[in-house]
Amino acid sequence: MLIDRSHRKWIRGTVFATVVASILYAIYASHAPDGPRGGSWPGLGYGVAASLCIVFAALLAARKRRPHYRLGRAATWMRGHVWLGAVSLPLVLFHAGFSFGGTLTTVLMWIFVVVYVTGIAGLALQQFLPRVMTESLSQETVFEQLDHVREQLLVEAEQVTKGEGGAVARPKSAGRVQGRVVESRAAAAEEGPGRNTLVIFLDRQMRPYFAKDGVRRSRFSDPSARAALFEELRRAVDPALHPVTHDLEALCAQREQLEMQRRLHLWLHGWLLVHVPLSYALVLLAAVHAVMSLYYG
Amino acid sequence: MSQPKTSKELAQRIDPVYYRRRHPLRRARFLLGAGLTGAAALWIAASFALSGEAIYVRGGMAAAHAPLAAACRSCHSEAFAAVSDGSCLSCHGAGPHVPPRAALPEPACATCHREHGGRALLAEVADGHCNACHRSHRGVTSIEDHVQFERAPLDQHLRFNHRGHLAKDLLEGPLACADCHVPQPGGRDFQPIRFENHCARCHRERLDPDVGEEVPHGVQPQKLRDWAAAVLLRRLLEDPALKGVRGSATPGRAPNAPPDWASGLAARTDSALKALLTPGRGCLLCHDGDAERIVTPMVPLNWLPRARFDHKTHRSEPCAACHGAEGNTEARAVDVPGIQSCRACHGEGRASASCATCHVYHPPDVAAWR
Repeated sequence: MLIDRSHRKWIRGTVFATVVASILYAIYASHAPDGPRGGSWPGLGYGVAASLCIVFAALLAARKRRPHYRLGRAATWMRGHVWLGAVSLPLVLFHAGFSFGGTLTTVLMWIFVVVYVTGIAGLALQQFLPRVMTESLSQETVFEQLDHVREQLLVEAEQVTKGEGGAVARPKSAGRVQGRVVESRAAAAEEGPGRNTLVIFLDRQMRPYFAKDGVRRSRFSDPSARAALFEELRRAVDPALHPVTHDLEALCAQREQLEMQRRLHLWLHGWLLVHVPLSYALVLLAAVHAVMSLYYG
Repeated sequence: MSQPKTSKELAQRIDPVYYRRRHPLRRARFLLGAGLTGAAALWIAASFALSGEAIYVRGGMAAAHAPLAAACRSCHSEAFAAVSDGSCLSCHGAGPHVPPRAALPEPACATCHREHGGRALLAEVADGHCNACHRSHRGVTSIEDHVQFERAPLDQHLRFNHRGHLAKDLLEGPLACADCHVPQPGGRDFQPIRFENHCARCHRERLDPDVGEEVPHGVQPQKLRDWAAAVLLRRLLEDPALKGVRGSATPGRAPNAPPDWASGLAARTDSALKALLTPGRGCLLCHDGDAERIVTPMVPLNWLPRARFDHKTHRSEPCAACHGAEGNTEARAVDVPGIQSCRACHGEGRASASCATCHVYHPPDVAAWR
């Protein structure tokens, strides 16, 4: 979620709530004979407020599963998730009196800290990664389709290498008019020698690069090394096959883009792998903590 | 250059039923969430099975309560209720507080003695609990603000010159503090000073140099007179000069005349008493009083009745660190240190200076504190 001007009210509310909570805490802590405790009335108040914030933040997942319910706009829920989640940290610290307490509360506090930090990190990543993706991924595709598209690129590379025909849209211009014209691709039989070189190049050099985890150990990952490889290939084949080499090079570039998209997508959403699962555990342990603390008075 | 694709070709790269498959990250998220939540539930259950309620213990417990760390119900006997006084009193025999001037309810034990706060000793009660009722002390935030001690009545009706008794030229040799101030078995206070134990060696009075009878201590002048008369009479009767006279009177003959000093028995008794009861001599060397009455000394065991001072915990310090006995030349002066002596060691960042360090909430003798 992008933090923009539409968040101003939420930011003001969060700052106001934090300042008020801090002032009240300072008064309470200075008058508490044994220091602030979660079991005191003010401490319980902070605990209840923090719990409500955390529960609301956790309910975002349920809200997303029921998008058709008329429970307010999804954007409002997300803003509430972000800013109520933000104010929950001081509330939790005031509740605990800046102490981690016993075993359960220590575990609870660390989980909360990790959830909070990953949330902040995720929010920070969301401020610039989408722009980076828009600018650098001209052929972005659906994330779930990355493997499928990668396989399709390999199939296309095989077709291009074997010289199987197909329609391509080539840019054409006539005076000031520019556009693309669908042309038939040349058949393999019309080309000179070197086709076998292309097949060998595809099998030995390119195919590993198009494997699922082939990017890491391939020279094609480095654009300059890749360009050098294709220059070498072009010197080895008939000039009539140079368009094919350019097609193969373009497919490799697309493969690189897919990998970049995968990486950026993992950065953009990977933090949720920590944030969300730990949130479930946090809610469960917080409920246990609340019940057992009240049980033992 | 690469050959641009047609929209149709680009569309053919997409699996048309991709949405039927779950997003891999979402699936991982779900599996991780289920796993972590299950692990948390398992941890709670396993902890309960293995160590009872120990994981719910909020913080460090008092050293004496450490064995109860996994037995919460030994104190938390009622669910969803604070620890009752009955739980505390089942083991501890705490007495009541000094009755306050205002009718205030007696707070529950756990109000002041807060467990799970990391205190090794629950008797160390935070000052705020005291000041909740003792409002006049709310301005006392450190030992620097503490008022001067309210000591026991200083006129003990006894004169004792510490400096003179610590002098090196004392006939019996110089005394040390410990020669008279002997700790009680617990070490907190000192045993009372007794004439027989501490003074008699040098200050034993005799009735008359001729008689040499030791004067009993702790006797008022009237009884002392009776005692002296009896002693002198007994001596008179034991006088060999009277042996032939006593009981030998013959009928028809005049009795023998008594010895001269026998006729002066009363005068001699008066003389002996006068020697004992002259101001600055005899009994009145130390005691207040006159020829008719000796004022009973009032030497309290505890000079600071509203607090307790443990000499044992201060034994690392020499007596002179607090008491200036060597400079005590005034016979009536009582050398009880003031608050300034305490401030030398107690205070923030130094030795404890909380209310409970010196004051007790449950005094053993409530009446004495009123």
